[in-house]
Amino acid sequence: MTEPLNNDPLRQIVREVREQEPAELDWDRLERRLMSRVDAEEGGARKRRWPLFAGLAAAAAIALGVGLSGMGSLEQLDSVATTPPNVGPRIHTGALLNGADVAVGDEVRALEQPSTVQHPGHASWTLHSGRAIVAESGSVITVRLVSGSIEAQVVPTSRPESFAVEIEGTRVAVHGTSFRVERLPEGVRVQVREGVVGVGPVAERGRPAWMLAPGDSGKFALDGRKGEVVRASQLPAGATAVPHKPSQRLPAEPSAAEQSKLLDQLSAAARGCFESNTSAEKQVRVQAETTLSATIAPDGSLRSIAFDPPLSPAVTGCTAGAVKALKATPTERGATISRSLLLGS
Amino acid sequence: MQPDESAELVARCQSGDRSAFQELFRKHRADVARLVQRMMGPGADLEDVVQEVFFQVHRSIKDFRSQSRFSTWLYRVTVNVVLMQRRAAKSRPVLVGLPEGISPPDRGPMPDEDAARRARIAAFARILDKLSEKKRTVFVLHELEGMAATEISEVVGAPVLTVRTRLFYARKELTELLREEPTLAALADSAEGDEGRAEPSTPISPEEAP
Repeated sequence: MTEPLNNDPLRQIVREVREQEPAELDWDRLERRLMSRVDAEEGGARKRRWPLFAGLAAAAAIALGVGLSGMGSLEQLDSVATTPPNVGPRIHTGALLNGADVAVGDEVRALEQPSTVQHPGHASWTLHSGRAIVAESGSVITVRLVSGSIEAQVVPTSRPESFAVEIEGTRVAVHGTSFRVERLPEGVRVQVREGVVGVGPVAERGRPAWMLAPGDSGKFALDGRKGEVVRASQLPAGATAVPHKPSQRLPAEPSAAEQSKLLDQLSAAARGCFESNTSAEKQVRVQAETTLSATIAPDGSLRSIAFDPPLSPAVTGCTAGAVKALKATPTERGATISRSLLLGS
Repeated sequence: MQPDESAELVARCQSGDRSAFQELFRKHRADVARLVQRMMGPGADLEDVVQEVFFQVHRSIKDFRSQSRFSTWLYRVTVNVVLMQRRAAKSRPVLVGLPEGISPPDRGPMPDEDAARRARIAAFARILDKLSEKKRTVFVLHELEGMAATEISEVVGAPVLTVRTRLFYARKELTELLREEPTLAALADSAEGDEGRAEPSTPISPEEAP
């Protein structure tokens, strides 16, 4: 059963794959980020081994916290206070910071002036009147907002949730946009200027409970499980979106009939793109069985499509281009719809 | 991978030596990156996955016992991280808009040999992706990484006979899938010595179809 490959075509392609040049990686950057994560984890472990020192630091932190509103939890103050110098997380202040210098576990403070952290080609975020800790870095950036507010501009990317802000149990994740997140004494306020923002519990990362479109704003509990959203479409012309009870309730998601109609349109586009982007020799018929999924945003626009198993980039790109103008009725939550397809038949 | 010369480094890592862990990373990073690239295919975020592999190595190196070679254990961690990443990626939708790197159909001259080889490798990655996780893993480890079935059985945690069976069916399935992939079908046809067929033309991938 383990005879060497005798099938010439398979052997030939395997040989080509084995001879392929490996991808070039920035090893220095990779090592820096890895060691930052390692140090951050070891810093946390060290904290647990120094109970007496932690107790003294906590007492100092309590004294510091009196009279300041919206401060973060004592545990987070503790994690900074007990870290010995030159080991583990650092504190960054200053008007303009390079994202590459702010490692996982580091804290950014903007107590007297705003502090902007730039990740070229990815995102830029500005912290106002508070503290934030970088929880994740690299192709996904996650910032834990301890106090104050963050404004962010994020470069659109094919990776969903490339930038996120977490406030205790609430996660505000970005899909290429401009938005503001503010920590309130009893919750979180989110305002979206451009693009789409997902909000939900931290524990349910990747599955936000609310999607906010441009002009929308919302107020959410710290556990990410309760919230109220004001849609831009619900406001009178000229009004500023503020978080209060919405005056009109939208349907939760598109109706079954509308979903079916959308799927018909998506399927037709996929079929056309498959036919026109799949070439074959004569007397050869190419077919593909796949499941098409599409996510509809609350404002009715088509947010994403996916094929499982994936189709070629040309077919996927062609389909995406053909359907991007599709629009459904605005709803409270939007929806994800899917249909199995046999293409090429 | 090299014969196990990492024993001393591993022992120092297990005692908390940070510089030993960095040395271990530098020694094995290329091998890990190559395996990740072969298992995940093009378009994968290699840097993130490689970082995650070594982070998990750091977390669990105290559990490594010297009954097996360190490289085998490292491969096991790598395979597990890749499988987790692939499962997580499947639950994320693809955004609308042309994916990066897609260009309009080329109506110009036929691609040169380098471009043709890249197209074949990309096409092979697509059909490899169609195998089940278990078959794809053993195929990559055996055919692309050159690991013996006995070592693969330690990596994937399955009996040697199971590994051999999966390998057999992986080859069989890939041979059939080769014929259905336009860019690779010419390889299959030329191997069969199809009489009456003219000299096979340079394969054209769907992306390059006019």
